Amino acid sequence: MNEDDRDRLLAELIEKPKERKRVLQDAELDDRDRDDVAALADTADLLWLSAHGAPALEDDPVAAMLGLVPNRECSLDSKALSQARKRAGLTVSEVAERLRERGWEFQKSDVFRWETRSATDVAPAVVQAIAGILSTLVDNLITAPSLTWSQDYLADVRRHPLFERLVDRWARVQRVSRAVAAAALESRMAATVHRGEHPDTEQLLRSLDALVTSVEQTTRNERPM
Amino acid sequence: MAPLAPHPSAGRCAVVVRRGWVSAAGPNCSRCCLDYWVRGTVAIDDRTTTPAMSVRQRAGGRAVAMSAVPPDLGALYLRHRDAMYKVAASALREADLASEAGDAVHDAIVSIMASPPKDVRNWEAFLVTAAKRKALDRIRSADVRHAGPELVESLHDRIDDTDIAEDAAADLDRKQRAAVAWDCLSILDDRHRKVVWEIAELERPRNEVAAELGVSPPRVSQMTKRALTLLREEMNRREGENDE
Repeated sequence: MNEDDRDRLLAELIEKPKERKRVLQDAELDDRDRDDVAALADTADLLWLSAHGAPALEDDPVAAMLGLVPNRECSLDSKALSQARKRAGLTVSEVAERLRERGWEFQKSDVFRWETRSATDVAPAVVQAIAGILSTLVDNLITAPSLTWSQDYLADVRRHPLFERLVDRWARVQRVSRAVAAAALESRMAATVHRGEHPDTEQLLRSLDALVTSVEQTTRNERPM
Repeated sequence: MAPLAPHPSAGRCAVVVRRGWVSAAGPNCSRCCLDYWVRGTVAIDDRTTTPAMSVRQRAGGRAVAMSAVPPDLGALYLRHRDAMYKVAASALREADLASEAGDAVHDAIVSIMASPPKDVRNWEAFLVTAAKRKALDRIRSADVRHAGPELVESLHDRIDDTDIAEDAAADLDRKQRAAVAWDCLSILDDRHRKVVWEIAELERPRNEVAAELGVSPPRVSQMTKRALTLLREEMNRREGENDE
């Protein structure tokens, strides 16, 4: 097999990953050459893998569902955080440490920044965690939703009575506050739109209903009675 | 029940003892040790037990203190979602279903939300295994849809639940190597990087890439091989340095 043949063989192996074993077996190569070509095809696979990781957070529907996408409906209020922390008798370092104990990767400087500068990038799930740490309600830690939201493309869905009911069900099944649940469902809708789909209000609500129902059903099936 | 000593160094696992693996950081057998590694339990000779909650556990390659507070699923997902997507995509690729990786990850998280596990020692391994299981469920469903239920039996020969758990460590290792491969792209010149990106990562047809670059398809193959050879050499060099 000459160099051109080897180039062609490698191209075929990359193009047909499912048939790689057969193509390699059929090729007229000695063991060493076979190993070399297989190693190059494996390197191509590693490159493929490196490009198939998670999407950007705001485009990830699972992240949205878990309340990991910052949302103005559930935006941490700097002043309220500072007051609640002091009431709980915790230092900024202690709040950061408790968050780390729950798996979040925050430092003292992050909590300090949330209190003194900006906290708009704090995701609803983190607000929920902070509320748990400070033994307070999420509603006591967040700013009132801005009035401008009613003008955006998801406003019709949010105003729909079914959305309110879905928020209640999601809060119940996820054991989170209504604000966090609303933010998670809204981010989930936004992630759908970011993916290039442009569903109408009814479709968005149906999709959310299907999500909530599936989680409720799985919970009923899997939780011990 | 005896307290759980560091495993497998204490020689609790017959496979580990037989093969002379004595280091706690050394290789594990594929079944009970992996079970220990993922869930913190080991079931050999009726000595099933759970490690004390105060032990330090590995999570995502870092040691974190295990406390009485269970970690938030959101925090875990944030840290390990990339690995979940990669492992799911990799499993689904064999059935031309890589685009369903997000759905498999979604299914895995919904299942975990509904039934949170206890005593997980390595969340990355646990989450990756969950995503892979759901990916393989999707392949099974697709096979049933396309071939009918009578062919599912043969599929089970290929996909076994035990194999999935056994593969977790290999999957994570592969994810690390993919990151090394990605880093090594920087050693290529722009033209070779573009060719290997288009062919290997984006899986674009050779003819299309050739037309775009104004070269012949055989030249694209030649450049792909050259790029992959250089990447392989660089990866071997870097991995060799890390081993030393």
